[in-house]
Amino acid sequence: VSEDWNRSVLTGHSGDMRPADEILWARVRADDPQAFGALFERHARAIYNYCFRMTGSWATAEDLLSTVFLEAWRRRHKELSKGLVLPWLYGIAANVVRNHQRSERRFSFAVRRISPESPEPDFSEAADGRLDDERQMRRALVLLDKLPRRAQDVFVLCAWMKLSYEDAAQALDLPVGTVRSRLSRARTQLRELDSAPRTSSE
Amino acid sequence: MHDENSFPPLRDLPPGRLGAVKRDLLAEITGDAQPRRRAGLSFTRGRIALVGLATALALGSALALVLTLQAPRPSASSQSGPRTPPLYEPFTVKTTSGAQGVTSINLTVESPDSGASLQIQVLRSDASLPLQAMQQNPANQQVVYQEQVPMTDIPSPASGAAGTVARATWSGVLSPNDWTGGCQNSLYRIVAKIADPTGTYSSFSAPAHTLGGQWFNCSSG
Repeated sequence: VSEDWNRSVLTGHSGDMRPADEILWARVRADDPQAFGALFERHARAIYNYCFRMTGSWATAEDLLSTVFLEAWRRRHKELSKGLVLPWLYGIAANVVRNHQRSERRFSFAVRRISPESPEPDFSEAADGRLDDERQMRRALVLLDKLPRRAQDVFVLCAWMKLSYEDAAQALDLPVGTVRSRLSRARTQLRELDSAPRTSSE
Repeated sequence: MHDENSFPPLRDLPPGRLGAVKRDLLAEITGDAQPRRRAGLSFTRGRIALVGLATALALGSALALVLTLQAPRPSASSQSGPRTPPLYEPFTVKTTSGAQGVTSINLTVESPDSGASLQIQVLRSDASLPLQAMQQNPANQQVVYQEQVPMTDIPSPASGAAGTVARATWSGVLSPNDWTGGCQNSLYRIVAKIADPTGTYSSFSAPAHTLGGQWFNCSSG
């Protein structure tokens, strides 16, 4: 070891030898918190954005992010095949969000009854900052809420989070064919809803 | 809604929040690895639990008060570790890789104790071994490098509770050529053992703190 007391030398190096998810997961299964921390750093952004797309609130998304990973740690002895760690995390996130929405339904309903600034959702408006994100997201969720819950899950994972049909099927514990058909129906319904005349409560 | 590709872009957590959330998360899972109950309690069971919790808290507070008054306050160095998350990075490993694999590893170790000593180890394990066998059986882990170095006291450490702020530091650069066998197609792990000021090198068999990096494959081949 050549000693280097100038700590600034240590900055600017980037490590690219990242162990695969399944290697980290094997460590997690052996109760290694550091491996779990590495998985958190790797997938936090995806889960954070997924939670935002399901709730329309960045603050709530951050809270749920912690909950998702705590739940993942609680279930850390589950055996996961190669490439299935992230889909499995999405599956946990879907359940966490659903539980959150169940408990917050009345509050959420009240919030959504507060009419957005424009009664006409404009999804082409460029998102400029987190507040714009939230405003747009809440408008979108008004439409999304009109779909069956199962269709919402499939739509968010496949359309917004860009998961493959196979990964979404893993996350939601569904056959791939079911994911395809639900996504197709969801898109059709959303197009119809988006073009339908809106009431002032929307 | 129909323009799925341009919908709110993926965003990172606000600056500093990723680290903060991770720190809280790790503090929770290392402080209490017991499963958290996620399902809600029924109203009746919830009331029973609340009454029980309040009773336990009252009894616990009284007991803690008695123990606090009677027992001597332990010194920071005699504690097994901080109960609150450290306000510093105890162990930082940053690697630089080339076409053939890892070329250098920058290490930074920080200790909550001034006057601490450090032992750096590189462990190697056969990449072909089943992961569980490698993790659970120390016989499958070979020490290919070991060195003991003193840490440098930080002249003006940050203020904070004992055990939560760094009081000594060490930084160094490790090359695969430093360890036995060099960079092979094997799994490696860097481990730092910190002996507190009262210890000697022999105390590394029971160090005050042991910090471990992640397993990595040194060779890109």
